[in-house]
Formats: sequence, structure tokens, C-alpha cells
Amino acid sequence: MILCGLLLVPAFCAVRAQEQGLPKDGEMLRELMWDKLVQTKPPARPSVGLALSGGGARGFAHTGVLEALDYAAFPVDYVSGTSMGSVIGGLYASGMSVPDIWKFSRATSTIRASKDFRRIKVLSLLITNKLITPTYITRFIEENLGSLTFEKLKKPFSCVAMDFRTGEKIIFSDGPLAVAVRASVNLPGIFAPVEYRHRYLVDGGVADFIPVDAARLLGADWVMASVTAGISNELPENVLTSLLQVIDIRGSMLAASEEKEADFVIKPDVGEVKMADFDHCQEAGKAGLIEAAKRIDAARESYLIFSAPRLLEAL
Amino acid sequence: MTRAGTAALLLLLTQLNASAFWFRGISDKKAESMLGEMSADFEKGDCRAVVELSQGLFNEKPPSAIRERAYSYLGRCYETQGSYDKAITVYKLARGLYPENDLFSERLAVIYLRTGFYDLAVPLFEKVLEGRSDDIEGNSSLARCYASLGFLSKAKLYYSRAAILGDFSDLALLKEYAAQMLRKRDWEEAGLIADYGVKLAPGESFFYEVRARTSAGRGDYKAAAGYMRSAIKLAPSDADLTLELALIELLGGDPEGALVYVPAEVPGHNALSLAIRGMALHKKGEGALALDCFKGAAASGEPFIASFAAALMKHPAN
Repeated sequence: MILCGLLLVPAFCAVRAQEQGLPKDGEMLRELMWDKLVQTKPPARPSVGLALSGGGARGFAHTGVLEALDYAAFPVDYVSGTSMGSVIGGLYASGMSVPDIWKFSRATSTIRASKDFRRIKVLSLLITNKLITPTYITRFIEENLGSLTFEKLKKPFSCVAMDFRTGEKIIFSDGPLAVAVRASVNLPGIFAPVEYRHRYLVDGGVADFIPVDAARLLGADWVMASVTAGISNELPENVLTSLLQVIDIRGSMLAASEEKEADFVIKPDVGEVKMADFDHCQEAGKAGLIEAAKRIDAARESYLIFSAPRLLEAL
Repeated sequence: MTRAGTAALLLLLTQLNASAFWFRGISDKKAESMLGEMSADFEKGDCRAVVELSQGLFNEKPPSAIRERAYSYLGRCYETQGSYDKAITVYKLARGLYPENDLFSERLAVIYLRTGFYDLAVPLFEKVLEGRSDDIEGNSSLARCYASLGFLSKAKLYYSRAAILGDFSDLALLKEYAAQMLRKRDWEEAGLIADYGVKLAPGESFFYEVRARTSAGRGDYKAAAGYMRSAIKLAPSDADLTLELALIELLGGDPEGALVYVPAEVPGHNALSLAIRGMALHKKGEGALALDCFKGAAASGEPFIASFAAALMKHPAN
């Protein structure tokens, strides 16, 4: 009765009933078993990994996903990230609260992360034949994550980059955090590779768009992926936007196969927010929250079903 | 209404406005009289007459102030008739012509809320509240939009305003507010609203259930069971409440207590009762009986319960 009664807004109740097709008994079982589940810790329950995809400015949708997970008290034991997912994931794993991560996305235009993209002059790139260093992005990462190591984080975290010479996927989970995140978010063909540990590193999104494996390597039994893949319908206008679109297409192709490895996938519809559209981070974040709010009950059910045998043991 | 029909309506309304601007037609007195008729028909609930009169009135190119009121009658009549697309067309046009009149934004927002376009409703309700921040309905509607979109922190802000402005006297609002705070797992706020609810409607089992849920959410199953018993006293024939008490007893570590409240068969709730019974029997070490219950629940076809029960069967003891 309570769960039927709890959803008293008629339209809302109807929408939920339609979306989920759940009788109230199922909701009651879900809610009360969920309360019990989130009060336990691994190994009494399976550990949860959260894999955050790349996607440039679209990756800010992860912020909204984190907010929905927070409301549901969804346990997150491990975090992995690629590209923008590594920035958001690194901040989250460092213990930054979700409201503070929202503040970061609001401040993105003022810290001028997009300025690194705006200052890319295609002609000078071609004439000088020299890749640029993303000053503002580097400064932001140093300011926020510079003092941290992976070992000092509140949650175990890993991020993915690619060795530009060999095409190998490189997973970082120890040592200084900032340089690893910088490498993970480092767009190839535009920004100069990051030299670290005898490797030349670029954005991990071209090798591993959704780092599900990285989360499992950390120890996660059950992995949720937040995926912000999407290809713009617009034709690229120049060499730069063409390159970004190619990276986007590559990411989407990888995402299509990699998301099958996750136990649950949330794919926010970030509409026409493009990879370098840092002025629209907020829209991406809102899209993330809206989609995650729609899917959170299904996610909880999926994890509850996965956890059932251990939950029974813990009763 | 078809897209072509909507377009035709918009064209008619805009053309009439343009022509009314350039070629003033009807006398103010006649226009006032026609509007008076519209108003009377509107009050009587005769929306068919309102729609017919509006066409005549617009054809006569009435003064702007008269048109403004005519749009409000026409829009609300379309709403009453369930012609939301026509009402939206009228309100959108009227908002453009009379931006200072909040009624059109408000009605448009209400339609978007009703039809599930919460993201479109939000900025309109926000605009309405800019001018009337103490509007209870506006605050609760905005809260509802935010809650439906998943923006639960923002929803809390507006539910709270609406409840305070109404002096916690609206029972339906308090129920909705408490439900959303449970969804947000904001136990403190949900408990607070439940306290107001119990004061307002002591005979309602609902708020005792809310208290039980907040206690269970905090891991205090003993208190949760106590509140559930209070709820059952108020609604003794409600099988849902009894099953919920059984589950709470089980989760609190008392399988014997759970079995007292969960008979083998509960008409209409067999899948849930079997799942609870199975878990309680498992806890008591009666694996074979538990397995039978899980099998029964798994075969029920109930979307979540069946899958959950099937997963419980994978426990090594089964």
C-alpha cells in the first residue's frame, strides 16, 4: 500500500506505472530490500563499479548521473573513467560532493576549458606543423587534482589513456593523479602527447571509450556504465571539426561493443551538445540527471537481482 | 487536432490580430457585449458556445484588451474540451502579444505538466513565480515538475514553500511531498512531513507507513515494525500493510515474526508472500521449504519479484 500511496501525483503515478509495468508488491519488495542492501558493505554484497565514458563536453552528463545515484544511495565502490569521464570520475573519487562537481561544470566556461579549443587555429596548426599544449585544461587539472595520488583517493579509481606510438590501452591506477587524468583527456592530433612513464599518451577514448574492464580490474563485481556517446548530425566545417567528428565516431563505435560488457548502462540523450561545446556543460549535466532518474529503478532492480544470493546470506 | 489544423488555427488567430491592428472594425460597445456573452457562456461551462463566439468576435477585429480576455476564455475552454494542442496554440500566441499577463504562461505550464512535458513547464512556472512567489499552486506545480524530471533537491525547495505557504493544511500535498522525500531518501524531511501529516489526519495509515519507511531506511527495523503495527490498526483489512510488516520483521532479523504475518497464500499477493516466506524459511534453516516458495514466486511472472526469487534460488544452500 505504501508504495502505491507514495506515488500520489496522478500523472506521475501513471507515468511510472506505464514505464515500469510494476505492481505495487514489486515496488515494496524493491524498496525494502534496497534499504537493506545499501546498509551492507562488500563482501556481504557484490562490489559496484562505475565506468564513465569519454565524450568531451557531453561527458558532463556524468554529473547528473552521479546526482541520481546519490539520491538512490546507490553504492559506488570503484570508479573508472576515460577522457572527460576521467576528470569527473577523478573529482568524484577524490571525495568531491556532487553539488561541488556541478559547480565545476557551471564554472567551466569561466575557467575557459573551451578556450583551449577556441585558440586552435587550423591554419597555424598546418603551417607550424606543431601540436599545442592545452594550457587551461592543464591548469584546471593541476589546481584540482595536482596534490593527489591514486592512493590518496577516497574511492579506488583508474583512468585510461592510449600510447600514441603503439596504440596500447594504458590503465592508470597508481601514482600521481593529475598527469594520468591529463593524459586521459588529451585529444590526439590537436594536443601534444603527454610524456609519462616512457610513453606518449593521448586521450583514452580512441582505445577504450567505456572503461568497464578497468572497473573490473579494480575489483568491481557489478559494473554500471554511464555512456555519453553521440555523433553530431551536422557536417564538419573544417579540418578541426572533422577530426573531432572522427574521434566521436570512433568513440561511438567502441561504445556500441563495450557497453555490452557492462551489467547496466545509462545513456543520457545529450542532444546536439558537441564534444567541444563546453559552454553547454550544464545542459549535458541536466540530460544526465533526467535519463538517470528515469532508469534508476531499473538499475536498482538489476543490482538487487545480481546481489540476491548474498543478500539472502546477510539476512 | 492535426498539425495542419493547428497551423490553420494559428494562421487565423495571427491574421486576425494583424488585421485588427491595421483596420479597427467593431465598436467597443459591441465588442464588450460579445465578450460579456463569452464570459457568461464560460461561467455556464458552455465551451462550444465560447468557441463559436470567439470566432465571431475575432472576425470583428476587437480592441486589444477585449482580445486578451477572449484568448483566456478560449484557451481555458479548449483545455476543458481536452484540446490541449489548440489551447497551447492560443496561449503561445497570447503570451507573445501580452507578455505581462501571467495567466497565459501559467495555463501553458499547467498543460505541459498535465501532458508530461515537464521540461517545458519548468521555465514557465518559474516565470509565474517571479511575479507571485507566494502562489501555492505555482510552487507545488513546479515542485511536481522537478520531481518528475528527477531534480529532487529543487523539488524539495518548492514542495517546502508550498507546504509552508499553505500552513501544512493540504493533505494531498503533504502525502506527495513525503513520498518524494522518501524517494530522495531524505529521511529527516520525510519524517518531519509525516509528523505534520499525523497531526492533520490522525486516522491516515499513510503517514505511519512513511515513518516506518524512514526508520527502515535508517536501519531501525524495530521502530519500523512499531509504526507498521500502528498503520495496520488504522487499516486492518489492508493485506499490503501486513506483508510489509512481515518483510520488515524479516529484515530486522526475526524470521519467526515474519512468518506470523505471512500466510502461505495471500490472494492477489501470492508472489510477494511466497518470496517473503521463502526468505524467512531460509533464515530458519528450512532450505527445502524455502526453495519451494522461491520456485512458486519465480513462476509468478511478476516482473521484479519473479526475477528476484529466481536469483534467490541460486544461493548455495538451495
